[in-house]
Amino acid sequence: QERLHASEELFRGFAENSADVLWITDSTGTRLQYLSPAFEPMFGEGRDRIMSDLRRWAELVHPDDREHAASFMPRAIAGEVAIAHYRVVRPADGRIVHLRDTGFPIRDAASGTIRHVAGIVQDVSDLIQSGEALEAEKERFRTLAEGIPHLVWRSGENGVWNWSSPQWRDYTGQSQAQSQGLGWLDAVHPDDREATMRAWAGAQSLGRLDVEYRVRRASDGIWRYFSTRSVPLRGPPEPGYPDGRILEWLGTSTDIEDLKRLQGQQTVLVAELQHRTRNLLAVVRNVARRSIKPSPGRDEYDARLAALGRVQGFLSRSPLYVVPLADIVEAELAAAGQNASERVTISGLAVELPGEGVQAVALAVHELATNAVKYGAIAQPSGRLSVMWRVEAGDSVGERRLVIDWHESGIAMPDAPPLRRGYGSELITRALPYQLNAETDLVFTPDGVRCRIILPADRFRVRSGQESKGAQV
Amino acid sequence: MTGNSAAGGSTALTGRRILVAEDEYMIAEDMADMLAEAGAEALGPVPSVNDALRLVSSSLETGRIDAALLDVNLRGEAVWPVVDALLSRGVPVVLASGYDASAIPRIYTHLPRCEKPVAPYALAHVLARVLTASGSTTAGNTPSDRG
Repeated sequence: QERLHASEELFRGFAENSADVLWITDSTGTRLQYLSPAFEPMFGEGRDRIMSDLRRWAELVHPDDREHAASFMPRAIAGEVAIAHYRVVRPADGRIVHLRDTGFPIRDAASGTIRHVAGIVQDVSDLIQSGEALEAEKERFRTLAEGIPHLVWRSGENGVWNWSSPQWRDYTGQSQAQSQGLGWLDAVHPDDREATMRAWAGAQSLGRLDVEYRVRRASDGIWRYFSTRSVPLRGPPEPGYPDGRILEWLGTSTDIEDLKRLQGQQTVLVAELQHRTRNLLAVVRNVARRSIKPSPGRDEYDARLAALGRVQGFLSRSPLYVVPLADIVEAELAAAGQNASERVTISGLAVELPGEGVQAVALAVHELATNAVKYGAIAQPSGRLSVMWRVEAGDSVGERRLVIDWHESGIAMPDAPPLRRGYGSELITRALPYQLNAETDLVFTPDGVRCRIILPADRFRVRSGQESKGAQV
Repeated sequence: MTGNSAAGGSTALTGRRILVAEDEYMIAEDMADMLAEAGAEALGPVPSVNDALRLVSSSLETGRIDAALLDVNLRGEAVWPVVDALLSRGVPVVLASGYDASAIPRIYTHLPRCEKPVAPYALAHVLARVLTASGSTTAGNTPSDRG
């Protein structure tokens, strides 16, 4: 008797403190003998009503689940462990909870006769809801993957696909099964397959896939360029895999055929525009030669147009639309006909001038070079010319500027060199400051021409940072 | 009185103050020379939108602007803020541009336009026309937004 009491105390200790509901009925399952206190917070209903009338339990069950719930008790009475999932509408607040009820018989140890039917009810609402959320998430992914114009797919390592979106199948005419594994590669242009698989081989260590290849359109058999990108889905970090193991690759292939064609057209157009610009300059030179009688003025005009043509030539060969300063200086000295290279020093950082400002600088260098070859450092055997440039800190913090120094020496200056008046001087002292915010200084010393041109930061850029000091031309 | 007297526009331009915005120095100088020959006074020239806006406000404080001759693209920037500032004060604007008409936003296509390269004669003629049409007086500008 004492031991029985102790055992009952133990049971109560569990039952009264459990968050799950424990219940015990008689052997016919019609009258409740015990119901644990967790019933009230779980079902939102007082224990007394159920204790007095077990039929009340069935009324709490969601109407749609009643039939299923009703089949539960007879099975437990018959002797099996019965499990039922049903929803309960809580009278307290109308909230729906998802429950899992496990019923089983309790037999007399000696005779095996069923004495009671008992059960445990668990609230599984959280589990159900996270499952529903997961389903909703999957549905969202599916809607996105199948709704966007991109061809979407999922892949294992090395491009072994395990799923392709309907768009891929529609576009390529492949079935889901045909696209699986490396089957998708059949829809890729034969010439692009090797590069494609190379990209996949490097994707693992790179952590992404970024490759372009042609895919055959089933409807008309045309190959169109696609940009394919993919990033891996990773598991949680683990030893040896700080970023997590790669679980799978999610990828999209985007039709870029139109983009590629337009880019090609643009390249052709730019080249055509450059060609026409240079052609127009040539025509203008020709018109001038035919319209103006031979004269020093006509020759100067002709030479300036030629300088403009050279700038356009440099620009047309530069995909970035920039010209190295050294190229301009060398080209203008060469065009002016300098043949005294041992007396000329050109040196400075590898800087480039962007296309918008390069024309004015080139014309200024042209004027200086022409003057030097005709009257200055190059014309006179004792003369020397150094053209040097450097980048230095500007007036405000962090600002840089390019200082170009044109320095002639060892000559006897004529009284009135043409550069002093007219176009060249105006170009350097007026046009460069006006157009490029440059600071300029043009001095005619008895020893030769000194010209300093300082360009602000937005008018040049340093190429790689290497210095090409001491280059002799 | 000038080489351009035959243009018929020189009388309309005499004594007028014309704002010039053009980022290419030599072209700007040509425009200023043309205006001087026609007896007008060139305000500027200025090479950028910011310089032009500054010149608009300072010129209107100290005097008046009778018309403006504006390059559509100044150092890669569109000139429209300057156009808006001038039009709101009732100053007639003439655009000079290397662009085709199709590159001009619709709301500005009604403005008189000279396509580059512009002959000085044509420029003087267009300026004379807008000055006559605007009936601009020499008494200074009244901001139209003040009614």
